[in-house]
Amino acid sequence: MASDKNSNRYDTLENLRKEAEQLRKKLQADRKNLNDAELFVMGKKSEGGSPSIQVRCRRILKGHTGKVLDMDWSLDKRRIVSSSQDGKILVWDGFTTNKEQAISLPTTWVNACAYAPSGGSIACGGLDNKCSVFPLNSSSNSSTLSVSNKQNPVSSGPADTGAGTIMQQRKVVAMHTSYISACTFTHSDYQILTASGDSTCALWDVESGQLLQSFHGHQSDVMDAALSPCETGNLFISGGCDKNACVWDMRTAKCIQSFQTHNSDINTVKWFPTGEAFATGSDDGTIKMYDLRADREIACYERPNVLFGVNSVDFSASGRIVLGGYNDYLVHVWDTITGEKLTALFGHENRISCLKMSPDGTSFCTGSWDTTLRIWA
Amino acid sequence: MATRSVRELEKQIEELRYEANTERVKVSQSCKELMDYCESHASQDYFLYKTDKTNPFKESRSPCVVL
Repeated sequence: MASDKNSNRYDTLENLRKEAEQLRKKLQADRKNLNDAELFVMGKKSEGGSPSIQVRCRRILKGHTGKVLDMDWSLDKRRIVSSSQDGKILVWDGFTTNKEQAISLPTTWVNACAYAPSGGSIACGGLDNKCSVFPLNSSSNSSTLSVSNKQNPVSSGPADTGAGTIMQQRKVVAMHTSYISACTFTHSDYQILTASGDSTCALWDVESGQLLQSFHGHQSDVMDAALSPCETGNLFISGGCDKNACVWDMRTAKCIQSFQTHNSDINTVKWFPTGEAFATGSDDGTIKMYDLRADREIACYERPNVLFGVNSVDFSASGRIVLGGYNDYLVHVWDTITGEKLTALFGHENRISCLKMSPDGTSFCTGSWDTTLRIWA
Repeated sequence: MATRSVRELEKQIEELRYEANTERVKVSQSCKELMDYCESHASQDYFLYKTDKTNPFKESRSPCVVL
């Protein structure tokens, strides 16, 4: 009797496995049939010349005492929030390089930070497995910070504006069972999307701290997540240590597309401006572009002498240029449609951990393990 | 244990079926649209053109006035 039951179960498993295998083969064949062109070949044929890039470092933001791990722009296109291994969150005015606010967290390694769309609060999280939201002071606080902003690093204690009260205003929104690797507000101040080392992503309500939706599918730590730039978009992408890049529908919590062509951990994911394609950066030293409608990888930005892992990628306003922050301390700049490497930007003295274009595309900011942030334009 | 892997496989098959049934477009069409987008938005890209629009980060701050 027991052996019959066991063999039935075995048959079911076998049948299911065969069905899965058949479906995978069909997918492979379908995708192959539509693969009638290559982006770089098309790009080189049509474009006149390669864009000439004249970018240099315009601002250096000094103040963190530990590795800068993440940064985000405010929608006002001048303020920046950054988080560091030293447990501090700093809010900067990018134009003047003044520090406007400092928040000390009781945890080190704040892996992720994000600016709310209204500019009124910031979210951050890291090794504490939580994502917390802090309100920001509405008036500019540059006068209340007693340290000279350009030269001296912000020390703990007197420089923090009302350290006691800010912790009281802290709101813990997300709780994962492992570290937070990325967090972002959705198109409003009221919801936050988090990615975690516990292999899940989650959507949370800021007011109540309630878990709205949980996204399971990755086999290992999720390293980054990004919301679709489309106003009506309900999609987001995630990339993880299982080398998978997944596209999720936020309403159904289903993974609607997934791609596995990287040879190592995916550290960063970023949408192309149209919301129809996205780029991923990996420890394997390459940046790849995946197209949602063609349902495949359409570009790979790599060079034999570019060996170091990519930690962060972003596109310029038109999408023509893709920038990557690498472990070799450089920003490598690529032509999106021809695959040509246009230039490499020097400046940082250690790995680049984060890179983000400003909301209006005038500049981009990089954060590094050398404890500084740099603004380039 | 066996039922869990059965469930996992069923979930995988459901997702694979969904993927197999979604409409796909040819790579050439997708790439063309991508390139068209880049072309049409090139003038708004500060990194491609030297625009006359003032870029606040490029402006030199308070020029040093000696004397």
